[in-house]
Amino acid sequence: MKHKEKILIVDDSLYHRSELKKLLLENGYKVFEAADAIDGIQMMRKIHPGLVIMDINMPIMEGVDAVKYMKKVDRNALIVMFSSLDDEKTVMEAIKAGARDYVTKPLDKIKMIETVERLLKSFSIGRNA
Amino acid sequence: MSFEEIDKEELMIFLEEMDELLQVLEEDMLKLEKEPRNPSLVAEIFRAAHTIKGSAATVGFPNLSKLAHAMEAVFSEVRSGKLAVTASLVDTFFHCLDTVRAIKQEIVGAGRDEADIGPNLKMLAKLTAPDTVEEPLPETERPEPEAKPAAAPPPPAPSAPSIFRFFRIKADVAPGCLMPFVRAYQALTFLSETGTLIESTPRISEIEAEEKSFPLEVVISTPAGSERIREIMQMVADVIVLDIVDVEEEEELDEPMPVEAAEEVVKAVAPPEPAPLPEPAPEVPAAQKPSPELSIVKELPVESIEIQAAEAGEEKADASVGFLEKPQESKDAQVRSIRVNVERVDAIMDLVGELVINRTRLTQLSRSLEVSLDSEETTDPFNETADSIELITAQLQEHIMKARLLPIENVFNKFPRTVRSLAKKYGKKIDLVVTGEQTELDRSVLEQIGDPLMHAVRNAVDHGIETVEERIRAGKPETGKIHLSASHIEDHVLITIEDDGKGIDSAKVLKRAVEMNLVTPDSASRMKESDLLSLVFAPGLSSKDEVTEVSGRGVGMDVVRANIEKLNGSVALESKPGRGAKLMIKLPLTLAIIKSLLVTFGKRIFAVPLVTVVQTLRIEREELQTVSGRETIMFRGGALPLLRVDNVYGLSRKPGEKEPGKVYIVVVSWSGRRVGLIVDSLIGDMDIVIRPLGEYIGEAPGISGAAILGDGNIALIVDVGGIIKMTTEEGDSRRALAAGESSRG
Repeated sequence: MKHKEKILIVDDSLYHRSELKKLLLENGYKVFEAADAIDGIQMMRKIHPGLVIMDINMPIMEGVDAVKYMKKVDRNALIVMFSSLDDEKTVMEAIKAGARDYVTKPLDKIKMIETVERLLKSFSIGRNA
Repeated sequence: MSFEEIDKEELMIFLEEMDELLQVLEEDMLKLEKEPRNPSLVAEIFRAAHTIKGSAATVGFPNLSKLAHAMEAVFSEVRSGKLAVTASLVDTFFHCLDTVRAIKQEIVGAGRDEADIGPNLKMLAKLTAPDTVEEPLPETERPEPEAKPAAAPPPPAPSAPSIFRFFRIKADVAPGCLMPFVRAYQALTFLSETGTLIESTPRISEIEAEEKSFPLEVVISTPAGSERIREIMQMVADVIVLDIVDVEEEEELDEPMPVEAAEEVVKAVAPPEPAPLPEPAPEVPAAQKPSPELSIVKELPVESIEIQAAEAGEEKADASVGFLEKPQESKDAQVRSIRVNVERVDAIMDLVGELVINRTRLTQLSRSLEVSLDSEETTDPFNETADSIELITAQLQEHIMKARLLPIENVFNKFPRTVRSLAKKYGKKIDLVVTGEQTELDRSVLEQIGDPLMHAVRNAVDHGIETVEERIRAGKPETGKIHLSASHIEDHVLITIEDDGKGIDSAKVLKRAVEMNLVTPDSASRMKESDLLSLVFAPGLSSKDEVTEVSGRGVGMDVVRANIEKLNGSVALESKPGRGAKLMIKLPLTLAIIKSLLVTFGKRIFAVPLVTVVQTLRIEREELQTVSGRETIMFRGGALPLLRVDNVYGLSRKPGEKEPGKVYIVVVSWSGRRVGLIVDSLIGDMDIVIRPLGEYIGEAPGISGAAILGDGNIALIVDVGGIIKMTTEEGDSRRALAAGESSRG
């Protein structure tokens, strides 16, 4: 059963953040946002999100590096990359670094929610007890 | 524990299970009405009926079991394709569900199940009678385009003695997949997490180098069964599992898998076209437009593996029998949750409340120790311990609060049925859209919002949505829409009920309000639109049928508001005449902890729930005026009646306590009425854990509970609604008296 999970959005684009936030709120999630990876990592330490949605191209720290870092902070971090279409190489790197899935931009709402729900259901061991 | 107690507990579990199953059945029947050929719905209904049959027989209710058996039998026919889902089948089933519910009530009340199930049995029997010919229901909603194989597990093959088995997995990628290499890589990583990769084509390095991706063929050694592997593969989007074969069995047979079985598997995921043997893996376009065949074979893939296993293993034919009846057993989610008696959770919650209080005291102690001892060696470890206890307590509190949270669907799922039957009764066409039903609320809140919400939904159906003719005349689609939604906004839950009906005619509401003397014609002309709408919640307005006729709403909206405010929530209404109305209900996540403003009177501390506080004022004692025997002040252009806490609660100042020259006034509002509470000072706002008074001193008028503060002091929680009611009743009689005097003079 889906529970009110905390989801952290890390994306430097306000547009993408608000679009995602709206979608996730509508689906009953608790949403937190960070505009860059450093902020995202700090926030992750504080709130322990059930899932992180991460942009790939960001200033300060790239998405892939952020994934590596987050996996060090929390081995079980569940991260979904939110990337543009032509990024397959980077997405592959992110997956190798420990990201669990990807969804492409522009936002496909059904796909995003399907991915989030599927990952939370499959991987959030102990979180939904 | 005596036998009787065991029985009781068993009965409780049975009744809880019945509630859930009834809900499942009801929801699925409603869905089935729209998707009469959805096989997973049919299977679920069948299973639910089957479970009721079994449990009822076990707990000792043969009548119920018999009815459930008859229901199961009908769906067994539907499942096997011998019987189509017809309108009368759906209606009959709803009748049966009503009977089941009635029997459940009978069990709760009298412990028997002696209701007459004869008529239901007859109706059910009629459905399966061979001479009934009825048009099957049309498919109004297409099933999901994906041909998802069911999660039903084949039982583990008894012939495999070793824990580790070898599987050969073949998979392809869905057309339109944007990043096939990533998907292939994901599939391999996921598989390697459950076992050891023996070989893969293409190799992982080839995938990483983006040279080759699909079709993918992997051999792994794993303790997991084929169903688990299928589940894992399904976690990767865009990947279609073509085949999962136990390699050892494959070798035993020393030949490729049977042709029929291979075809079955292919047919299950692909459109029915003659498929070649699986070497090389067939090009399977997946996720195509749903075809009727596809929707029917939706559940087949696993079954086909069953067939295949049975054929391969010869004597395993029995293994597949009955698997459809209990496929949930493998769903991990169900295994991971346990049933706990609500009282136990409440008891833990209470203890955590005590712990929170002691934690606060400990923190205060540690701070004062720091000041008085002034020795860092002693105080530092002590402070650290205090800090970590504080942290742990906070986490413990959060977790236990979460354990008390339930998804709002427990309330929401009553509504589809209500709307369906109300719409039918009034000859309206209504689509109820429910979103955010997974939003969670404390169960105490949940228990109490059912009625107000039902009221609001009924209003929307009854008075909001127009009849089909009216809608056509207004140029709207003939099916009205009611959108029920819930979401989290900060630490509140927002529930909205929105309809696209005729909205609220504020001019008529106002006219009525003037007639009812709720507002003066003078102030009426100055009212803003938002204030006009709030009149709908005014008590006197709602009881008149005439108003509900013209305004479209209003039946007991004051009751709705009172109920929500009792839960420390608030309501608001928006309306677009001719286009619909929207009721918004804001609720706290929990009732156990409330944000309060702490105030003092003399040596006593009172907590005023922050949601009721409009404003605080600090005034000189001289500014208080007395109007017809009551203290008032001018507030926002009107006279605000004031209350002295000592008068309300019959307190008196202790000898030696002197009245301060300046007083604070806390302006509170409840149900649209405002009063000012005169207090000595304000302490500040704080989260407090409510302790009921009832157990110790019984109901106290004007007090809704008590809270123990960090320093051990006790604050009484002001029941704002209660004191306003107390004073306005008193005020009304005074005013009547005053009015009489003035008319004479």
